[in-house]
Amino acid sequence: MENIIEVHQLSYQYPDASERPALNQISFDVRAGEWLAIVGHNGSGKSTLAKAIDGLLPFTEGEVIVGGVALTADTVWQVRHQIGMIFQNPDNQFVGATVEDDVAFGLENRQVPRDQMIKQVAEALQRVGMADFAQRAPSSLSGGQKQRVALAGIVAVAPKILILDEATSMLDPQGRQAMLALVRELHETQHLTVISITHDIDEAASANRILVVDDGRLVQEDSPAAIFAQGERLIELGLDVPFTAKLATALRQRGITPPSGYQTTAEMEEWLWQSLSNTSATPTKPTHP
Amino acid sequence: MAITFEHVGYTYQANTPLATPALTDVSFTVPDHGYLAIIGHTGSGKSTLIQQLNALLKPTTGQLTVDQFTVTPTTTNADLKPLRRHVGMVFQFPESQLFAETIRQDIAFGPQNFGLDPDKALKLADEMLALVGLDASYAQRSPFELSGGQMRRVAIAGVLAMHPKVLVLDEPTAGLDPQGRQEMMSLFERLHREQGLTIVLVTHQMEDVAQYAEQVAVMQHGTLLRVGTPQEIFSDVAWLRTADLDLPRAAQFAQKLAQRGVNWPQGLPLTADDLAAQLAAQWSTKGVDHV
Repeated sequence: MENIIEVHQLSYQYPDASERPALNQISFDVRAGEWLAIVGHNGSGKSTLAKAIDGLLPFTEGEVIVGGVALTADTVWQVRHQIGMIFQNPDNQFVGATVEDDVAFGLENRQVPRDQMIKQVAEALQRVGMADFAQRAPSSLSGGQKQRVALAGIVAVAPKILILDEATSMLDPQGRQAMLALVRELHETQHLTVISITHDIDEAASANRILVVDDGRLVQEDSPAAIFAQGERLIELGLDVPFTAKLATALRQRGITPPSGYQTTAEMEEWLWQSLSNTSATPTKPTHP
Repeated sequence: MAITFEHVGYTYQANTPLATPALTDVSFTVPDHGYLAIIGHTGSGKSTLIQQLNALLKPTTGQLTVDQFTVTPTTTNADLKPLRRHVGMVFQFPESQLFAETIRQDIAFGPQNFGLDPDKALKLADEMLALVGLDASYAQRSPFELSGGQMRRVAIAGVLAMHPKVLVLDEPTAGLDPQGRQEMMSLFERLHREQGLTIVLVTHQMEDVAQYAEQVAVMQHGTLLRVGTPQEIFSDVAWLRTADLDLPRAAQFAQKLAQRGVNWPQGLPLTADDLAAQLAAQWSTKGVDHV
């Protein structure tokens, strides 16, 4: 797979901050069609990193290449046209008086002819399940609905890359699951490259790869299973401890030793069931049917 | 402080063509030093309900009692000042209400407003700062230099400086990272245990309900569907599904094992610890080797 984003030795210091740099010599690649999660505790620099990729920060050191275009003051629009970004607070990103006006905004900026625009807006709203809300004021929607409208605005302009900057953190659990299911579908059907900056373990679990950022540095890069295997330490990385890891700890305290490494809930369920139903099995070595 | 709601109803813009009923016939009791979680979907009436607690909204029908204070539709604002001192409200994103130049001035603002002399108020501010787990070096700093979680602690310190007996929390961990969430929930647990504060928590986090609450109220369309212990509420899985509410993770997992035939004689486990304890009990009776 080709690299759709390449970041080389990127550093950035906020002008008013005398302390350490917000980004410190970060390098990584993102492959086309990949889902990459970036995690880290609050203040680790992960949102700063997302802004740098979208040309929202005038970084002075290092290089960002998006779709073969090196990001500079002259190419910033070429870069931004390839990227759709959704932020944490849905109320900070609405411009239209109605839902459909808002979705049309990106198309208007790209000077799409009106007939085509109407069609694309309707299709995008259909896609995210918000077609019935086209005439509504964004302020009358719930948080989850607002984020879906924001996603429709991105679907309408069909960028190659979607960046989610803690986009589900203000939603209730059901709104979060609905939003994630939608992003997963777009990722699979549109070959969309997804970068999600998140504290949510389910969102991170959807990724092909996880980068851990701490104190402005890239400190770890691995598969979700390998990252999640760190158990209780995950809380320091800005993630929650997966339920199966909490259960494994609680079981170990009671003298029961589950298999080592990260277990999905289905694997844990299977192992417990096997161990409980097969009295001759040793708990550390589950028997497979 | 005990809380009693008796047939409380509330209608926004009552007696106008725009009248919108938001609460209908809500009755429940929270004992002194209780910990109540209120769950329900967006728009179910949770926020309208908690605003009755310090009479930001007064009932349109019925009445409520908080300790010796009774609020009825005709209670005047002048009568409410003592009640408001005793009920501390922490709204969503309370850090957006910070305004002073230094952290200790911000915390001292409320007590001064209620007539405490400035020196005493500043001294009190320092105590509150320690109570929420920030050391004295923060006192002279600007609240706007802090991280989101720290700003929220300062805002909460400002509420605690009023020495409330009831602490009302509207999704207090929204937008914090998991570590910040955990620290925040432990802080409330500590205040509940050590200072005897009555806690009313509005939340979407079923894990927190299972771990901390003594009572759960389930709201839907402005009515109180049920009130009970977490065990009572979460054990009725079929009913929860009709109310479109989630189970805590551990209970979801225990449900799956139950479908395979595992029994939970002590009730559906609600936390990882509870689940592990019940599994361990079955482990030994089944004769599986211990490690």
